[in-house]
Amino acid sequence: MHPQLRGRIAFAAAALVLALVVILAGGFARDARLPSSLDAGPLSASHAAFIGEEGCSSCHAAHGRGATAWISAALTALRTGGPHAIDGACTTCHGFDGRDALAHNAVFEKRADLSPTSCVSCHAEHRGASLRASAMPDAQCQSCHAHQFHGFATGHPPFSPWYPSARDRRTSFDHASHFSKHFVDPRNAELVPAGQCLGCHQPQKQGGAVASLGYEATCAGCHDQGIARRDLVLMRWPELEPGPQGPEACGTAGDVPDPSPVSLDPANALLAFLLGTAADDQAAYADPLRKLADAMANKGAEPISALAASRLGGDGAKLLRGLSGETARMAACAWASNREHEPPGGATQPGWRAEGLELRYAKPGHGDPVVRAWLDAIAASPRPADADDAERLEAVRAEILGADGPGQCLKCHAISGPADGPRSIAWKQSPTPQRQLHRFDHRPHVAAMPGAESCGSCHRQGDKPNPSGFASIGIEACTSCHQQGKAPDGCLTCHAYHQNHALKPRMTNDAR
Amino acid sequence: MRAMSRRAAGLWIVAAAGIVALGAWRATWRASTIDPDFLTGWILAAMVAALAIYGVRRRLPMLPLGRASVWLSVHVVVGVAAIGAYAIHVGTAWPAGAADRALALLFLAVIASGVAGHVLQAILPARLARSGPELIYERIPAEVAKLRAAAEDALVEAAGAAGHETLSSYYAQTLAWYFERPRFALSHVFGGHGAEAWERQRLAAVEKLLSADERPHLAALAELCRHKRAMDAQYAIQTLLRAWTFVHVPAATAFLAMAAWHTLIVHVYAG
Repeated sequence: MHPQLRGRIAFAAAALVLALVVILAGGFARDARLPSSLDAGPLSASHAAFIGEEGCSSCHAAHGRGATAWISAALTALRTGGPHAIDGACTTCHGFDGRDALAHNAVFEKRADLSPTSCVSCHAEHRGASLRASAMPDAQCQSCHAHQFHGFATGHPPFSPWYPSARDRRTSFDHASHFSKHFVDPRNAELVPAGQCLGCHQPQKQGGAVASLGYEATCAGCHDQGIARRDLVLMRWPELEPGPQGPEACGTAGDVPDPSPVSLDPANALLAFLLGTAADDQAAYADPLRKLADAMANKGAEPISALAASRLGGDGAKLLRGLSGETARMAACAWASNREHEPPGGATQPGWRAEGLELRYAKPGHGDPVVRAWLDAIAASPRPADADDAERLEAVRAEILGADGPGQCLKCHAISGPADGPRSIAWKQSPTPQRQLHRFDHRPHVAAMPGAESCGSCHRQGDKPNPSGFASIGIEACTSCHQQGKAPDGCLTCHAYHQNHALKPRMTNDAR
Repeated sequence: MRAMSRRAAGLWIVAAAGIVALGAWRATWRASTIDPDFLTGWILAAMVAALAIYGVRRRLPMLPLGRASVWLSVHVVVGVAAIGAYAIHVGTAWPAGAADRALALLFLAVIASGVAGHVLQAILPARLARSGPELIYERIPAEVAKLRAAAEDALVEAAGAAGHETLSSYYAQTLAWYFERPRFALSHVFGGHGAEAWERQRLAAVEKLLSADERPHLAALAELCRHKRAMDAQYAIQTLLRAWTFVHVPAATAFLAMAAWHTLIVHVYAG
């Protein structure tokens, strides 16, 4: 047992190890069944399925590329402080909304201290075929989230007071009034959708947001008439002292107008805003109104279309779509001549109509493009710099963008944006605004609790209903089942880390 | 001794605090530019390097590099701390790759042999002292041969004096095995009295068969057995005190080579 012998054995052991790792380094290259000193462990089944002949170099750029590539890769890892360069391989196939290397793929403006993230911060590989790279323990989430708790049922922060309905809903449907008032009214018995909730919704076929079956299938039976009753009044001829004669283009030269004004009303809010004058100041609106009437008498609908486009910023052609030049010209001639306009025929078809002292868009239907164009233009119109003009726009908005405005559109469709700035109207029911990092699938819940009555186990009408007419859903509705020993209660049951993860087209194309 | 104890206690406290701090940092690690596995790996590598320096120091006793006992204390403390650092670096999962498994096995071999050696170093020297004056390990086989020769001389003398070979025959049947080479190694290592009991039984058995002329020679033979027993104890204990290093040092050297390969590969395959 001489120390020299021990030294020789030690040297031999080290030499043997180095010889083995160098010799076996190429094991995988020759035959995957051979042991290899480069073998980091078996891949997960999902990744093993696509690496094909590329093998390790599918993800590891330096693999099989010689000493220079090895040195370069090692120096990169040393410089970056970890295996962050592998992220590039991950994002070759995996894509997200937002930036890859940010927490939740998002910029948290209030958290400038957050460091860039890396795929390998959370995901592992080479742990065997059964590894699910997306599976994460709750501790992984709580390594960053400052609010620590042990389980969903024991410490998870309460839901927002509006959960699950955001304030800015795409459509506002008051379930409470429909169920408590309209659906129980015997006069509506034949119009009420059969099947309670399932008469309008099909949660068993939809995942997260459960949209209704659409206007025609669920609303039209009752609401078509109400929509048709709300016309859009573009012009209401105001009080105006009669001029010496009507516009020359009207062919009324020599006629003696009635000495008393045909209208004693102020201008309607929309006309006043378009003219840029006060609605009740005849001295202010007389001149521009006469000029507008002269122009309409000469050019038909084009002047009012141009005026609307310039004042509201919308597309004039869309705003006045369907208004014939003759209708505009005849109405302008009548009003400028201090007369009410009597339309020929007297038929009351939907569309633009001039009658009496008004130019109106009558009997709109659901989804009417003209009414939508006007509402969009008025909603999107920026606040004018002039205070009086801004006040007139607000008057227009109050009249047109109310629940009883033209077509009653905004009774259901949500309008969002600052009250005194450009706003937008949500015409589409779907997609419902999604919480990017939350997920809820109605299907397994409906499957577990079949029948329309099951909806009410979560969606309850309460004292403080949210815009949908239901009370907000509290966390206790979920924790009654989702707790340890019962239904899943991990973070990833309801939350997603990434924003809209999807495989990139390259990946799916290659797979084909 | 007291000063050394204080120093050792200080080392243990520093090491324990360092490992606890590293574990706490790892447990509360948040996404950052520093990869926790890389950082803990480099810390472990630094500790392994520090442990390896001890081996170099032992080969250079002539250099004024501090007292050997201090170096040993540091080696032991850092070695135990390395177990914690390894657990923090690797976690509880058994490595999946062939190379990593080999690395883990070597680490376990180094740790196990190191712990065993440290325990032996704490227990056996006292037992060695109790067995008599320390003999030079390499000379013990020769000393055993001398005892064997002395025993055989005593037998020849006894045969000449008594005129018959009762004692010689008995020696050839029993005690010759005992004097052939060091015996009862395990009993001596564990502090047992197996050799003594064996001797007493054998000598008592023959004593009643001997004549009065032969008995003084039996007493001389018993004295030689006592010397042999002390020599055997020295040999067994010294053998064990050397033997564990024949596992620890080669395993540590192989581990160093494997760890270097691991360090290279994890950096190369980081991208």
